[in-house]
Amino acid sequence: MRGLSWLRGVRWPQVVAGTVLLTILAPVVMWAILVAPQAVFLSDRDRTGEIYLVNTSSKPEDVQIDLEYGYPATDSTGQIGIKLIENPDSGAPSAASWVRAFPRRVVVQPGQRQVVRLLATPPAGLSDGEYWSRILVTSRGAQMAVANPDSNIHAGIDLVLRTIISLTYRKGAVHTGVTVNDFRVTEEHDSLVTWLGLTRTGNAAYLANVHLVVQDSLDHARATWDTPIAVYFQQHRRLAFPTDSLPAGRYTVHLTLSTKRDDLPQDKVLAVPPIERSVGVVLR
Amino acid sequence: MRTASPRQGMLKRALVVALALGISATAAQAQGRSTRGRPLSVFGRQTLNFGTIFPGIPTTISRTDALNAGEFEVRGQKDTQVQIDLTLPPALTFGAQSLPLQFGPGDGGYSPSGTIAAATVFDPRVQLVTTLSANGRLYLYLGGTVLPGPQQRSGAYAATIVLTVAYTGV
Repeated sequence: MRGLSWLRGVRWPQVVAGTVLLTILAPVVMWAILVAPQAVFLSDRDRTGEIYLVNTSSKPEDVQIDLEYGYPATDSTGQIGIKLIENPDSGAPSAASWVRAFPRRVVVQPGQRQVVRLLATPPAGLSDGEYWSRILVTSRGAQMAVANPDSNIHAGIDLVLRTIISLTYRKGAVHTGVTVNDFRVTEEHDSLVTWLGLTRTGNAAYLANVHLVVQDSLDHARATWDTPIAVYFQQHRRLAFPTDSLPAGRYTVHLTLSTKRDDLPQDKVLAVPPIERSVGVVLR
Repeated sequence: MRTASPRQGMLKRALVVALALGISATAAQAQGRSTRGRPLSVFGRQTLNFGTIFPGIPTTISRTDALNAGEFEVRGQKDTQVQIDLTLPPALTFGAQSLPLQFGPGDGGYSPSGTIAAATVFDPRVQLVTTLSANGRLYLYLGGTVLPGPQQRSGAYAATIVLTVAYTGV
């Protein structure tokens, strides 16, 4: 326990807003566990880290922490998903087997927070580069009855909630970049579909933001979209956006890939110059 | 024994969760720098409720049934893509006895606004990748069917649903 020093980091406007919000929501929240932060960064200079668990429900939560090698990857349809690999090849840049969580299992009482400490003990002779894992936080609440107790047949469903966050360990000199192999935009039904072929360069994941601007023939911006991406190896990504606000006509779609991320500590994101591309599309 | 009043309990929960909203800043501070990122959290708001079950009579709960559909809420960074996986059991069990449980392609619904009737249909057996709303919310709804046999033995049948959430961009 670090005393109350951690309260210095609390953003009080959010807290006040949250208090009002949760006062309204609290009676209907039955199971809940909050995991922070969304990404943990360790290095050979700082081999320890922390995650926080907060039980915001009214029942004890039995929480288990597991580490498994994994990263975001696309399937044949261009859909992104976290690919978890239980037994990675020996050459895979996995940190899952040598990062440990303390405690690995804990019961978090209602209204309590729990600090889980992470310790990396990498093998000797590890090459420079990034090593990855996913942290799987699994919480089990109390069993809920789902059938009328007057019935002879009673059915109960346990709800298990699992939150997956990322863990990155950096050793020595790390650098990243990305090559855009494909950038196409098509109209599909009521969506503007962007295909992005991306191959990472360097020895570290490319954490970036995709910024798309749709400009009409008068160069007026008619729509913008942003989405964070993480390229660990290569991806052929399909991004779909609604076109309901865009009348038929000829447009230019401008793509900017930038390593400026609002959702991650900027000093943990490996900065590289932005990449820009443009392509035309006709909406019918 | 001293017990807290419902109002006290509600205020306590509200305070704890409100403090949790500051955790992302705290955790980032522990790593040496502040961040605007919001942690991902998932809330179970309502269980899937089949009501009274009788032998030989299937019971279906629609995903749009506000009183009985399973309801979950995901909170995180606004306008950010998340991956949702539901691991659904094929049956509830009671010892060696089994009570079949069925989920179809229309049994899932999701809505950024929390409007159950206007939720977009999804197949809960398949991974869902979608974007959190402008205030960082996503509501999920789950329906399903239990298929008790004509000779279904009475008992307390149990099963587990696993709901997994992850950001796709980190």
